[in-house]
Amino acid sequence: MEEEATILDSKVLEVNMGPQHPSTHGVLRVKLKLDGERVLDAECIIGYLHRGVEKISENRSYIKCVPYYDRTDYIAAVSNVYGYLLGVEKLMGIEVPKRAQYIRIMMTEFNRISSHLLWLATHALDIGAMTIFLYCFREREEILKLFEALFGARLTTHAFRLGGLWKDLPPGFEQAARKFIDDFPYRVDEYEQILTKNRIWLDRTKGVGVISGEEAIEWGMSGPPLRGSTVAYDVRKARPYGGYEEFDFDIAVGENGDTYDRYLVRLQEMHQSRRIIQQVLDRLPEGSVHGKAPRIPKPPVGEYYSGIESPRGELGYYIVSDGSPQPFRVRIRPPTFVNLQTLRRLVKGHLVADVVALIGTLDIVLGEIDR
Amino acid sequence: MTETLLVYAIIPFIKIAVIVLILSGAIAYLTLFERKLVAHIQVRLGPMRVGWHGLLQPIADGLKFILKEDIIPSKADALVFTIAPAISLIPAFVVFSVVPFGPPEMFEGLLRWSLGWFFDSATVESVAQNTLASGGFITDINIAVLFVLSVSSVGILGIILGGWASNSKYPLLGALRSSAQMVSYEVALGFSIIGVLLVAGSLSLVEIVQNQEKAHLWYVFVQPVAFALFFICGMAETNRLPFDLPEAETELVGGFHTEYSGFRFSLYFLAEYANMITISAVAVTLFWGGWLRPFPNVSWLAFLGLIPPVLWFLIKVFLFLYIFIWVRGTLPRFRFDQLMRYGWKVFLPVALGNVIVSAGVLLAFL
Amino acid sequence: MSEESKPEEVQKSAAPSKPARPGRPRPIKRGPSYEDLDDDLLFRKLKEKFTDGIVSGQSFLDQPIYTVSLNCLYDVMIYLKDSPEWDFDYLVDVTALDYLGDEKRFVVVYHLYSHKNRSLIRIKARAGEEELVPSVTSLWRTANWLEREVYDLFGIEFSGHPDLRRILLPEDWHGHPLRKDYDIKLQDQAWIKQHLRIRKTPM
Repeated sequence: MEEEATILDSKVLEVNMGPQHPSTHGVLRVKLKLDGERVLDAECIIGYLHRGVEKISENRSYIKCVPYYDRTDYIAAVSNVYGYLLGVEKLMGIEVPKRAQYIRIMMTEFNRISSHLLWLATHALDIGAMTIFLYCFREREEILKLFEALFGARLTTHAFRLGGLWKDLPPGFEQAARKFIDDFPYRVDEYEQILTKNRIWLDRTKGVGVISGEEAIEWGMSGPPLRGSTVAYDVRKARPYGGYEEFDFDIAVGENGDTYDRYLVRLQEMHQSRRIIQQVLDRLPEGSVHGKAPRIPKPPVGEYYSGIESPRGELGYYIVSDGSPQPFRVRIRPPTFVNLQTLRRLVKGHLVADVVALIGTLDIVLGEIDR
Repeated sequence: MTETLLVYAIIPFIKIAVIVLILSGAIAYLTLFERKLVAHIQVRLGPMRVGWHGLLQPIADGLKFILKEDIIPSKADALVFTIAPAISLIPAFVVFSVVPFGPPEMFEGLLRWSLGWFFDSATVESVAQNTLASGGFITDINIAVLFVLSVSSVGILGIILGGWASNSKYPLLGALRSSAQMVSYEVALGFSIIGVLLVAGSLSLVEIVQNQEKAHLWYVFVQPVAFALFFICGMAETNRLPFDLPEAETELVGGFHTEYSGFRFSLYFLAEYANMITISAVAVTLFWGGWLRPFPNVSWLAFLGLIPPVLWFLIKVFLFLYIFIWVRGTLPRFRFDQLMRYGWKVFLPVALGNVIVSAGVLLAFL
Repeated sequence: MSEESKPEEVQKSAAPSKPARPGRPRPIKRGPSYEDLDDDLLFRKLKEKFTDGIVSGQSFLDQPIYTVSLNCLYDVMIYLKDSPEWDFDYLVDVTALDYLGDEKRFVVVYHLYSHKNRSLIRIKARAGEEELVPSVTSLWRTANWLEREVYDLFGIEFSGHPDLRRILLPEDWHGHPLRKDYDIKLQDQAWIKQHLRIRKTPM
């Protein structure tokens, strides 16, 4: 990277942001080269949380490796398990009962809302708006309570089982879910009141980290960062999976591809997720939630790429089976690993304060990046 | 002789001691007030465990700070590192020596009563008549406004020195931000006060309040623009959100005080709150009629006079502190280039314009 | 099941079954299977243009797989990205598979997506242990980190990559963990001793 001549011939200041830093969302380390506060270059150093999930998967049976995927992207554990199970079910030709499919979609969308809430909370906190953090956690808590009621856990949920669910919805779940989605739009309005038209928020996010649609595609971005740059690519629409084609929702798209647009896109996505949940609750069929799945799955020789839209972008599981009870290879295509790559491009020429905003806007989870 | 001793040494000393004690207590409880208020803004409870609704929390915090290990980084400039927090804290207290919290005859009765036990009536009478002894202020100097401006700027020096002396990158960035920030708001702050000075025709804070009483008008209604500028720049001076760039914990991990721990850190912490009180007190004095009750010339509101002037002063200061904390609970943080831009391109021209318009109006009509 | 024996077991069972080469005598009880892609338009186009460079075209569960020989991989990629007809502008993923025991042990796998045609394809290329795989970083910038990850975990080197370093593991780590001959219990003990000051990690 070229280094520009600095004022008064001062030296370039190298600053390590992270791995222990309040706003690198985990153990991301960014090596910043600064001219005063202006960023000349930023190099991401990752791998502090590498646990070798892909290697572990090759040594566990298809069912036993599921909990490990909870722990890759722990903010969106439900989505992660969902993507993997869809892949294995496809490979084995397992039919999932309709009711289980619907509940899966509902929980995944709840997970999307909770993930976006956590993102909004931390992103706003990074920029200095502290109050919104706790507002978001208030709503997230409600979703986690729903998770606990159905899955028995709040964060690493081990949400679904091969062929369906662990058990049906507990009594009172539907009412609680309905109550949440009825209240939710007003809660989002509260966030918007604090931020959307706030002069300082606009100053801090508009025109920061602008990336065009073509460039975003070239960098392989997916999810809200890509949609913020005018590209309407959503795996749920592009390659519908698990029954998503039966539901109505719109793809939220930004106009300028800056941090503010990515914020609006995510807010809009929360509303769309709410719409999907509403439809699921209205049309939830009766029946069993358990599909016919063998105790020890042995998929035939083959391979399948199961891509889903996780809250962070396109999450892919490339599962290769050699006919044995253990996967030959499970490749996790991590959305934020790819999105994070653009950080270097995004921060150039911005200030230290923007680095924080841009790390936030990419919505990274280090558990998934490092796997 | 006894009279001189009393007026110039003993009584001021007692006043200083009382004010320092009250101010320290106020600062400590201001931290609790902030925590509780921000907590309630954020739908949570705040400290609840130490004492009833956390009332003993400041004491527990203070003890914790004192007992914590005080680390001086090996590569830091030990001398500057040690004195920088004090440089930051002391000016905030010093400013209070000129801020009037009550009318000039505030302690007259008290002095007559207490001194009557020890001295002859002539001495008592002359001491009680002397406003320096009986006034609701430590001292009243004729350049008080300049004194406030200059002394309060010294506090920033403590931040810059502390950041520099830590010999670490984040504190250095914090210190740089602090100096950049200081240049950009201090000018506008000074110019915003000139508007008041033009109207009041005095640099003494006591006289400014007295003139507001004579005019039956608080200067905020004459100089609203100046007040807005003063308040915003004052917020920048106290390094609070949305202008807490020098510490900005989510960007600079605490900025200038990253390397500080224990008691030295608590000095910085207290300095911030002391500055809040100072800025509020100065704003109240300059713009909101100091110790005066609202609407002194409306007869049916005369019952408001039952509340002593000191309380009026405290209530107003408290309202300002409330706004400080409220703002913190609401707004995100500026970026430092944005603050500079606002400082130079918005605040300074507006402040200058305000001075010119005020002066023109005064010349033309008065 | 004893933990130690597992990796070998996987290797053994992995070696004879190569998803890339159908027709191996392995009984498939049920479920999907590989099908040849003869009437696929892209396959015919590729075959026309690169003839012997295209080893095979198959589909599995309606996901097309094109196996390409290593020396024309880069040209195929240029064609796929730049021809307005196909316009695969989005490199979804780069990864690898390790068929230990084969003459050319690695398979580099690319997933490509075209936003225009809404189609997802998979490109595979066989590579030996010493062979250099052409980097596609110049075509898709995404490839930078993805190829670094493959290099890190498999030890496959990419020619023409601007910054080929380890990405997930420390730079002075020895070994490439996702290779099949890298036991799951295996760790770089020397590195751990030096950097983490742990004598020996518990087995």
